[in-house]
Amino acid sequence: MSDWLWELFQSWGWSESTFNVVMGIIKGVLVTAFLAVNALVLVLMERKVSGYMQRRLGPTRVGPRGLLQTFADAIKLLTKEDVVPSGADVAVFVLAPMVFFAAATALWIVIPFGPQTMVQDLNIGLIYISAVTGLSVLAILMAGWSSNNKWSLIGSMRSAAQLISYEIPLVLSLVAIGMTAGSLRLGDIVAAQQGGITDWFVFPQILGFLVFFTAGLAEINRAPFDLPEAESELVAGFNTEYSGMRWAIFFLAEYANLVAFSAMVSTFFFGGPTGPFFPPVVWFLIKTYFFIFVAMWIRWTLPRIRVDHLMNLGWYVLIPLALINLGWTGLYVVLRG
Amino acid sequence: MFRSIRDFFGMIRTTLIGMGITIRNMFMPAITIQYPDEQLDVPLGYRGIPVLLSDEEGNLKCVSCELCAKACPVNCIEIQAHRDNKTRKKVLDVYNLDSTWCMYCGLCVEACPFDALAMSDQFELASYDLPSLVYTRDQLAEIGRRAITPTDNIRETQNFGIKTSGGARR
Amino acid sequence: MAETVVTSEVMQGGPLPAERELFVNMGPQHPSTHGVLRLMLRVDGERVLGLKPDVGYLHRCFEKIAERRQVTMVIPYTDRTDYLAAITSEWAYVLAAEKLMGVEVPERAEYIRVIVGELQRIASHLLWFGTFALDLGATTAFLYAFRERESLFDIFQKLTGARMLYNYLRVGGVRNDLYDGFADDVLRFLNVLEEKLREYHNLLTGNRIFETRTKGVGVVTKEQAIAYGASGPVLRGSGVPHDLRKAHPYSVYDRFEFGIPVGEHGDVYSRYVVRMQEFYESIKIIRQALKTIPGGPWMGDVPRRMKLTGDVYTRIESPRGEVGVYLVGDGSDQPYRCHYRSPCFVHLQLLEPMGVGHLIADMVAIIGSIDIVMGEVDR
Repeated sequence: MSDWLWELFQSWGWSESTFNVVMGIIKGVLVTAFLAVNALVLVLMERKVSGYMQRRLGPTRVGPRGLLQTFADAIKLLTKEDVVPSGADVAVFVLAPMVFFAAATALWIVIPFGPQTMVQDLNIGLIYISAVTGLSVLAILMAGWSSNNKWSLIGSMRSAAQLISYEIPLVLSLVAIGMTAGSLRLGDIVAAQQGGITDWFVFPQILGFLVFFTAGLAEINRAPFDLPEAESELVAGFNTEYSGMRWAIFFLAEYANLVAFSAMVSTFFFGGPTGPFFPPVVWFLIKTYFFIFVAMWIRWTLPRIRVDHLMNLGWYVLIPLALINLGWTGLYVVLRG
Repeated sequence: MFRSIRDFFGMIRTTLIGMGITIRNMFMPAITIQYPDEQLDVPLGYRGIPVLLSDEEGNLKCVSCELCAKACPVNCIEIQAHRDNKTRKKVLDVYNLDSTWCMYCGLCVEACPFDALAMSDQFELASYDLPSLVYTRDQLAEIGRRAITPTDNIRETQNFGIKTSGGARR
Repeated sequence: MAETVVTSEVMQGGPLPAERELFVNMGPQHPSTHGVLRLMLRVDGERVLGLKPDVGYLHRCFEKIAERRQVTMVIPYTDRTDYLAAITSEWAYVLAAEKLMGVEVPERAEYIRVIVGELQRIASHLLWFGTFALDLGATTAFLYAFRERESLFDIFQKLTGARMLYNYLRVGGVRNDLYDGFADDVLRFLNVLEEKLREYHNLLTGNRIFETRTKGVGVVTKEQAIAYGASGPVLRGSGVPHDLRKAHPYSVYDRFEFGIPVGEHGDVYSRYVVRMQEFYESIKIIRQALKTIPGGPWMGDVPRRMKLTGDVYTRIESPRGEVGVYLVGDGSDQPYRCHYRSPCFVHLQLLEPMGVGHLIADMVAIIGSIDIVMGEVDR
């Protein structure tokens, strides 16, 4: 399709660089729109899933079966008073949610919606992912510090420790994926799993899958690793002083992270947007939403892990397991030929 | 370190067990009642607001002995009566029950020796208008007349209560 | 960040927080301190160095009110002290009044009190289980526990007319007899409960995350527990097999066979196990009582004008520990003085030795394991 568009633009006399810029902008807008729609759906999905698991119905009043609930929430958030706590560092306070959202959105440049459909198929795709996931640490620290609130500070410190610790096993499992696929491009990783279920990377990489799933859940601050926003302990952690649309941006960025995480799990281990009968985009949605459901399922089942156990898990368990996985993958790649 | 790794796999195993429970519960029916579309059916004897009962001719059974007002722990009942010179009986003029003070404990009903008071099943008493939360003699009598269970022998057989039709809202 | 924080602790001559330390207020509005409890914490990063509870936010002058009400009129107020275990709170007071007036309670009423008291224990422990799980992050367990509580509320509603604050016990007996079908309802509920307890064990007890968060946390040694005056599951969790229903039996508890669960290590996990086991013991007691309950009156001979003379201290085993009532009469029908010995008030002292050295996240687990009800602490 992009070839057709390129011919169209060529006929208008546009240069290649202009074309690239315009295409980039269009793709970026499309991805952001996709994220926005996803956030709308996920807010409702979380409440409905948690409701049904708890033998109640979740939202039912707004719209048929409660489907328009998110719009009601959005309108409420938009009309809230904009509170900046006294003594807060206003510039940092205002910037923090934006940085968080930027980090979450930047990740979507490489996520494949189809075998060759992504905003930009960077040939350092995996490295790019590892780099961008670190940006959210900065945003959380900014939020906690600038709130002028001890609880927020404690929450953000916890979160920084958590995110930094779990980067390493995450990256190590990505390295194993790169080795199995023979390339850092996500397009190649998807292509390497084209041959059906038997080609899925989850089978040679079961340990890598466990490590990536756990580290990924920790990276997106989701239960059982949701200490930074532990409701029952720190009110809302680094989120405490944020209200209205600012809080909504944090929330949306978290959901964007969740969708990215699920998309990555399905791309790296379960074949990504490929499969029989349906077009690739449909498979992308099916697999991604399945893993989103699993993440929600886990959240509503488990209690929270304490911060020192979290550190323990990250350093003493996941890193050795990731290294073992790496060794095994090397052996596997050599034997495979 | 090895213990931590063993713990991790133990964690995964117990997580899967827990997830089995939650997913099973997900497909069971909801146990919540969708109020206000569905109404809760309270049993006889439920302690809603106390109401004045009338006999078959529609006259209040209350003889203004004021035992209920004395039995109330929070003094939420105000009674005024006068003695009718012809029949030599006391007539209840004012019976104000302040529902914002009432604890819904039922001691007034227990104290009444004449079956003139009963706990109704009215609990939807919220109002925007604070003075309207003081129930007068006529309002209480009106609710009492809407009883759909027997109004005799409240203490022994009716568990101190009545069930009514309609709501408490005016 | 090294500001000088003037707090009541500092004003009382306590040490200023050092460079690295933070002075944090946990509560009074906090999602995990059950009720309005304020904990003044001195923390270094996440580690708690010092702790001081500040109570009084729920004080409603119960003891003063009791001095100006007649004997029966105090009973609705006793409900509201420990509102999660209302029957046991009423029971302590009613026992004291009966002792002072020399009133005998008929057999049937005693059996009814035992059944309702044990049902109340189950209800209170269910709520404790739910909120404890909720504090640790397992939100779903909270809703499951409340589902069972709702069934119990339905039973209580049919019996007494109210769901939570029953005003059911009276001096000399109970307010009204059991309704027809009470035994069937209760037995059916107990069967469902046993099934659900298995589910709770699967969801929480065996969970590795839960175990690592509660084992070894908030340890109270046997000597400490006895020295601080702990009672109930806090005392039994530390290995002291002391239960008022066996040590100083009141009512007809000496006719039933039941065990006393005792914990081993005195940590949060031990107290959790003790309370979970108490479910089964209560179920046993209720089943035995329902089988052997006699007929007869449910209210004894009580004089028309109640006269309280003398003073007495009675105690009963509530789900939280030893609830005691010291009742003083001066010959009138109103108590001269009614003092409530609240177990949670005493357990608050234990928070400091339990919590110092642990993380803030552990504080939440520790508070949950004491099962604090601020209504009882502040009255």
